[in-house]
Amino acid sequence: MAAPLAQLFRMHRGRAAAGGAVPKVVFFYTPCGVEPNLWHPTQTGANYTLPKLSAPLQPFQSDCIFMDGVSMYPLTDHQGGSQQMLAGDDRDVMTLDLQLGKLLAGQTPFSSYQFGVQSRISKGGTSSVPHPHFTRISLKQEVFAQDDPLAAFNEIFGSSSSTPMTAPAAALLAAQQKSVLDTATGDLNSLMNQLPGSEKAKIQAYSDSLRALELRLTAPGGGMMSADCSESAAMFNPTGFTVPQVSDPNQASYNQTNNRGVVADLQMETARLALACGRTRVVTLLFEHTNAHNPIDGLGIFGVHDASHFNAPPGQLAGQGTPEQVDAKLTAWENYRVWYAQQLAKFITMLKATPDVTGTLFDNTIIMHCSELGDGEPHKTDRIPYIFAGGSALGFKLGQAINFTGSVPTSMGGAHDGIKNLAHSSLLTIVAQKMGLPLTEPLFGFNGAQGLNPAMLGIV
Amino acid sequence: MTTPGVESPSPRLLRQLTLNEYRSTVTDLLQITNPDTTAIPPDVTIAGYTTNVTGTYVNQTYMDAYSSTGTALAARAVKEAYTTLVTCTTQDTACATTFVNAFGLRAFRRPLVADETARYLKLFDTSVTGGDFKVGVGLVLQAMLVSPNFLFRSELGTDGGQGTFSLTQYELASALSYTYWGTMPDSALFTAASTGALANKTEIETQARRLLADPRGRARIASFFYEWLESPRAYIAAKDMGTYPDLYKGATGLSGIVDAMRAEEDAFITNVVFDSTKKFSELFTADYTFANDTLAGFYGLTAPGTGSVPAKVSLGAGSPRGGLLTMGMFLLGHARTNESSPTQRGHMIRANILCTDIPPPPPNVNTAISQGAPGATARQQILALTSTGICVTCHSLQDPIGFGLEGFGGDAMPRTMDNGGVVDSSGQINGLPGTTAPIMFNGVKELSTFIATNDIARKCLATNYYRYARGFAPLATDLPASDKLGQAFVDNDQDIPELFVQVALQDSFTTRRSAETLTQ
Repeated sequence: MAAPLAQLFRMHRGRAAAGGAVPKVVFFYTPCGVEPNLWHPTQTGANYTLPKLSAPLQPFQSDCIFMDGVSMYPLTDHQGGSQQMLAGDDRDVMTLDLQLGKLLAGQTPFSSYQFGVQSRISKGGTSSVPHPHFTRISLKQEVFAQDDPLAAFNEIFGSSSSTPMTAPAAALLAAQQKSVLDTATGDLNSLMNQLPGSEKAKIQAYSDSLRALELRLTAPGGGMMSADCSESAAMFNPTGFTVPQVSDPNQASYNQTNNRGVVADLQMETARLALACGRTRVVTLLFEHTNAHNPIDGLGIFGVHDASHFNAPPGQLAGQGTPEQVDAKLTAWENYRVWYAQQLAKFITMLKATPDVTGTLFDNTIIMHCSELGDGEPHKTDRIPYIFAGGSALGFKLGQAINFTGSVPTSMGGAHDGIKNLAHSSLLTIVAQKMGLPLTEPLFGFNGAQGLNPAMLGIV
Repeated sequence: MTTPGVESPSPRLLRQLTLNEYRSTVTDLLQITNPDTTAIPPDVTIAGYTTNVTGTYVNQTYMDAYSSTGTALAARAVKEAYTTLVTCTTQDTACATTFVNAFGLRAFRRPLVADETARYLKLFDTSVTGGDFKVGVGLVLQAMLVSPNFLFRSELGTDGGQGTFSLTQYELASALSYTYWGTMPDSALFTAASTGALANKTEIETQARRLLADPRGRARIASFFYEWLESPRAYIAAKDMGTYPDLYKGATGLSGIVDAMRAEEDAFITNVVFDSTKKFSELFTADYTFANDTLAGFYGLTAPGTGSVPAKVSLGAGSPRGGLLTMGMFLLGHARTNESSPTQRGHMIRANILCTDIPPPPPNVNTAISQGAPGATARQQILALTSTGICVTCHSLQDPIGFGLEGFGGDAMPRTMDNGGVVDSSGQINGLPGTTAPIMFNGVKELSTFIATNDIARKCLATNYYRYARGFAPLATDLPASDKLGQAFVDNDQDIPELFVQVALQDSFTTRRSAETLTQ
């Protein structure tokens, strides 16, 4: 395993100033890239018009930074792109969401939380099971998102939210939970003594997870919620979505094509509540994965990934489809991309309507929209559809479009050897810095962040 | 074939229970039926196998799931199985001690040491039970279900000096029960462990044969074949309704057909392995299959009239089917949405059945470089795409094998025409070790006949079973053990069940070394 990133960071939590709203972050992933010319605005500056695929975000023009000319280096494909998306480059490091969680551990019950909308779906479980490694401790240790929206809510808010507990009952429950975990910790310590080196990583992962669970139960507010949050939580799941037990998770209700919309709504609502109620400050929200094979109900009959390769015949990634086939797949793909933009627009609306300690949740939360590819059809990691939304209280200069194509800052060596665009690692660096993790090493990536002066990019 | 080297002890391991093992174990341990384990993430498979120890880690997602699932199952067990789990009624420390030791033995699959008993007895303290003994029982269940001693089964062994370790009697009991049943030891195995009987290889053999003959043994072996053949792919293979309307005709649609195909494969395999000749060759050359009414209807066979239960059906002379490579799971799973896939099928046969390592395609491979003429068969299109440049090196190892299966479409049905062209199902196996010229064949039945008697293929089954049963891809140090297993299978013309038994009789099954880190 690579050296923990934390060693390379200078610990810095100053921004979580007492009394003020604390910074939060959401990594908002949508799959398979875009058609760049139909996503990125042609203008730069404050006045820009969004093309067809990003048009649902036009009402939020002043709340976003649209960025063209951002590439992922080394240039790669679906799998590489998903591995690098939150890690900066192709090295075996812990992803940024988990790094931030690690830094903030103990401040909230959940150091970070990964929500998925059909992000783990795979029927059967062979090599076709997706292992995108969006979120990972290392390339050997992937962290899967929680795709069951009811389970996510229950984990974060406790299933007892609908039946308020008396204080003594809650105290007894907390004591019981602590005793159970203390007992497991005792077992762990005994076992640790007899382990060979090769098995240490395995048990270390167990140990870290056990510790995280314990922290969650003992963190401030870990057991109980404020009245405001209880009230909001009580209104969760207005449509009464259910998850009947099935033996194969792929058959679960939340993995069905026709439930994608309601699952997305529930996951976004739980994410909003989790941020607003201080349950976590770091959220990763994954819409499907690199090989998403369900269609989006009512918008097309092709799986999302299949549709993204619209030049190929149905079900194929290569070859040339007939004009009718291409037209059908392309129509579906563009419908899907518009749908994803609508989801982001919805999420922005939700955060803007949620008050925070100061301002709104949107003002204090950086939303980073990302994908593993830029131009999805030919698998290119150029012109990735990055957007920053929110975070004005953290200094994000919202309401502009920037095009970084061919303008690599000289501090990063300028354009050379095929490096002609801004490395996406620079954007991760800005998020890391704004969340209180100033870099002391060129960590996030290829030619990335060494000496990066964020002001030069005009983003913050 | 070369003589295998000297067998070495295996790596010391902690083996996290797979999802299926977890389900079976909590069912047996808590004496409840149909436990709800849906919160637990799916297993990470390495080279198709869920049992690979390098795949899964207890990260936070797993821990949350083990914790919430364990809490719910503990509550169910206290409600539904209390008197089975707690045999004393006095509700005092003596009773608590009896329960902790008896349940702990089964949960940790070994007796508790004094420290552990003391640790668990603290869960009966009134400060956490509120004075309710049953609450203490529930807390013990909860705690044990998230303990590493439960979630991992130990193959660490005890130090015998000079870097060699030996599995304890209880570790051996677990190794046997999980190898052959995928669940915790039963009382006979616990008894054998407690009396030290498993120190004797004869007893290990007796137990292995007993476990294998049990219905749970049959099911576990079917699971092995399911993973070896990467059959779960049939469940993720979307099929175009316009191209393959027949797949959707039945009352239960495509999923009903795939379920029926899985039932076919499972029933066929267990029949060959346990009830018929037990020989490798029959897996590929049988002149019968097992079909339920749904599948018989789809294949165009006479329905056996057994409803959803598969029954043995003769294929008749001249049938294009016969053996694993002609079954629905294989043909439908290793194919595209609206077309066959000689590449996928050929890769599967080359990599999993003939054990040739084929590297994955390079990253950034341009998948849209060229295409066959409109109306070209799948074979022609594949050749147009891959017969030149860097692609040819690997594709020549697999595609020409897959061409032999072109007599079946992506719907697993026989065909003579493909996209307007006549199907050509001549094929060849290039570069097989020990050969100087390609092995030519015409159609899947000739290919199957070749595989049925080929030593590389037979040995490959042994290699794969070793990986599945032992939970890791052998490092160089482990290769002699794996090779020895395959060599004996071939040289002695062993029955397949004998191969499965022999894995437990290897010295390396019971001995361990301080190992280097395993790779995926």
